[in-house]
Amino acid sequence: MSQITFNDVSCTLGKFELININAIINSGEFFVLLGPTGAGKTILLEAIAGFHIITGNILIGKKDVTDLVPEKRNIGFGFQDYTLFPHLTVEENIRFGLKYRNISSEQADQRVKELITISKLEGFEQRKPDTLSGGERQRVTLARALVIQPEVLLLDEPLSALDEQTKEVLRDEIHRIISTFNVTTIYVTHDQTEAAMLGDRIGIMMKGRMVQVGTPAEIFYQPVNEEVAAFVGMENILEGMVTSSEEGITAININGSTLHVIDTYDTQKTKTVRVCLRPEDIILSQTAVQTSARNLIKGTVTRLSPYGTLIRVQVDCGYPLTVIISRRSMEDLHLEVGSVVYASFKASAVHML
Amino acid sequence: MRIRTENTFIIFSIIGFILLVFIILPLAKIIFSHDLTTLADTLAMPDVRDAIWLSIYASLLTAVVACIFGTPLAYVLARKNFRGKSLVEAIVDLPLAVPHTVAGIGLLMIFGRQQMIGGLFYDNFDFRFFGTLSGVILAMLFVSSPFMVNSAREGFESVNQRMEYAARTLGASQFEVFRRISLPLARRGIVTGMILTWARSISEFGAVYILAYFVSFWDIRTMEPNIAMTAPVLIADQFLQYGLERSSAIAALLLLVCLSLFAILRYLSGRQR
Repeated sequence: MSQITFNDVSCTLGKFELININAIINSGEFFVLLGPTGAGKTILLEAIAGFHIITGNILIGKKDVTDLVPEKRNIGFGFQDYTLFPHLTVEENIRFGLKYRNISSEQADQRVKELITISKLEGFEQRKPDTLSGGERQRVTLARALVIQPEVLLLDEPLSALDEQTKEVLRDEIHRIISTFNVTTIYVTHDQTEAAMLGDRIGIMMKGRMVQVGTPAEIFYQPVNEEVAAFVGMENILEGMVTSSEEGITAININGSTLHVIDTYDTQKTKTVRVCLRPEDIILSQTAVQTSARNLIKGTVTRLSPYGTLIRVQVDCGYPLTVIISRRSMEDLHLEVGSVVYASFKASAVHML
Repeated sequence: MRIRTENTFIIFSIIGFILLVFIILPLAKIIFSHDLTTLADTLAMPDVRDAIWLSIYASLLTAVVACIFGTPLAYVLARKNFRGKSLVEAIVDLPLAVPHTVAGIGLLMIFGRQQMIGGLFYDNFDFRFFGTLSGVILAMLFVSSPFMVNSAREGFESVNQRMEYAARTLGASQFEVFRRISLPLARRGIVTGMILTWARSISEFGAVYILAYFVSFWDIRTMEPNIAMTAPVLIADQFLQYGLERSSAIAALLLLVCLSLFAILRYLSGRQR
């Protein structure tokens, strides 16, 4: 269990690159690297493992590993496409790395057995990887990486190749298995749900840069810029003029309607601001009910579209708002295109970019 | 029953069939134009037996040598990109484009006992390539090495490089990764390379003809020195001296031996899958 430190890490690899990554991953933390495809998440992971030549430094604990070959770094790496050794059995796969550790064969036997138990792989010991299901293979991959007692565990989209059901089960399994080892983990994904559920903290990567690091709450409710906001599902990004900022509440005029935000704003500065708001933080009603929500605005439904099991509603309130509601709510409200509705949301749900 | 006509494939199959017949016909003609007694009589001749044995023996040794020198190069070519790689690839394929007698002459001008490398060996160890088993192997190696390198390379390329990365993170050095992961997984490509090398070597005439017409070699069957020609050279020799009848009987025998060995090796390597 060790802290990982990135100092000005840069690397170019064909069309992928890392630009000046500076971050500290705390010891024992479950850190999720989240970002769109091609953002450089995998390269960063591979740079930690030592597959690429980089500028800057990477420290594991207090040790600078920048110039160390991969086999000397004591890192567990779980690849996206399993990479189990097809000519070896499950047990031989898990045992592979122990040959390069200074331990007796009895100790090795015991560790392999322990990992097989924890990973619920009893009965699979003598099977070859190509006879296993996707979820089973991923558990073997994890066991193989953890058996060497690595200082750091790196997982590259371990769930991306699985179906939804297996994904959910395995997500919890991975979390359970890793927490028994208390190892510093970096987990790469492009899936926000995984990130929110697993991460102690999340790092957002975009175009080779680490643009924001924070707790899931910070990432999903206080994105640092419009790009991050859009990526983490802040579907409502609006531009307006600040009209007043008093007692911690700022009023913003957007196309003639006023919107309140819990935030202070220096009115001496440029008055044009952008705010963002999650679609699930907005409540729709048929009448102008008084609630604790400070923002209440009348609008017209312009579009209804299915969003998984939910419904995405577009409302024109003088400015466009996207709202996500359940199918039942839609039926109760008798919503259809052209319906007049009231949208309400708390001032604290709005985040000024 | 419904039948869907696939005209393109029917026509292509007919054209392909013509090629297959073209390959099979002359070979079948050689084999079936001799009765068993003639073949048995021919096989009873010591120089014929020696020639067929020498051809098999030398080409198998060539396959082993090709494997030892070709596999590392194949791994480098499969894994690394470097400046001048296409030049290296061109050199690997070069023997395919060089007429084999030309190859033999080139080899003789390097390995002859008064030449660059040949002189070195002759002066220091009293070792000759010209007219010896080593000469036969050199000639065979030259013309067959592209098969070894290219086939082994394909074998290595079929191994997911991330698998090697995974092994590295688990503590294996580059050589350990090669030994425990890449080599076993590329085995099919390497074995196929050896079979192709062997097949190409046993059929080699031109380069062997120049470098080792008469071959003196240590015969491991009798554990005594022996002198023989390789089978293709013997066939040409007999053809020039005695004509078609005699040479085609030896040809039939060599063909039968090669076909059986080829069938056995293909079967064995197919079973490893």
